[in-house]
Amino acid sequence: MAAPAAALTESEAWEAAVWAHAGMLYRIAYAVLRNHHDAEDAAQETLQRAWRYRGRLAAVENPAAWLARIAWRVANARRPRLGMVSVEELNAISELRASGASAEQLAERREMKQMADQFIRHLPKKLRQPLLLSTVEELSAREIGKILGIPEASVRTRCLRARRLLREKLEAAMAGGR
Amino acid sequence: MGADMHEVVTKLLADHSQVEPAPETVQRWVEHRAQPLPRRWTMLRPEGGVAPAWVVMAATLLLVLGLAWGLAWNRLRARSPQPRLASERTVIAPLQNAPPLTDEQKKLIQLLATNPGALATEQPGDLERPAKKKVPAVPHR
Repeated sequence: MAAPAAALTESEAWEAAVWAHAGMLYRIAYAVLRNHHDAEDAAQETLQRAWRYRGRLAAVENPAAWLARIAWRVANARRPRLGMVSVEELNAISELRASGASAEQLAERREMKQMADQFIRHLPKKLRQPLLLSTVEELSAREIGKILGIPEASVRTRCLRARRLLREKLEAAMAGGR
Repeated sequence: MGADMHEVVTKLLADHSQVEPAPETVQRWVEHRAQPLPRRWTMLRPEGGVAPAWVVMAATLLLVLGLAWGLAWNRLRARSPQPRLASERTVIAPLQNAPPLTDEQKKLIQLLATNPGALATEQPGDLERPAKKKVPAVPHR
């Protein structure tokens, strides 16, 4: 923000916060919804809700975390139903592995990303939530903890467990094609 | 394979939400900030958005049917008088005017009338035994 916060009107402060954190809000919404169109709608709704409560913005200690919390709730309310992992996807991923591609190449492949998305969506809720938020680089473990209402240490532990579970699932999917 | 997969997972997670909104999109958000928010009940729908017309019609129909059923049920109940506690009366009448008492019953009545404390020491079956004949006390001379 160029001008001091006290000199800004509510509207200006809100607009400054939007330009500063729009990317983060969009990334949070996208991490949950996995769809650009839905993520845009969710981000817009987040900002509409923030506009409604713009009077509180000046008193908020961490506007980024405040906005992130709203974005998280809005995106989760719009979250689509879980889809199942199809057999075709499992076959595609094992074929990828069988092709002898390197780790870098594997991670670049669309099939692999889709598979990872599916596995992330099927992780237990308490592991999935911190993992999704941890993929948004602007959010620290402390801020994620505030959004989810859990201690910072729990965020780190759950992220580690989620990563391990994800790795095991991907390994199992790849081993299936051998 | 473990270290290999660790790299894959790290890369996949790093790419998971690396998206950036277009500046014109952010500008649109800023311009449409004061638009009315979607109604809260539409948030119950997993995919969000506005509920289709048939959902609204079905909900209205259900509401009307529920109200109609409630009114009809009330009227039906009002037509046939229901028993009330205040109108209930209990009459206790003996089956026979002079029921014959058994020996045990007679003894029990006698015992209750003369010495109810003795009931505490009575054993089951005591009442069925023939009562001891009382020997009149003979005064010593």
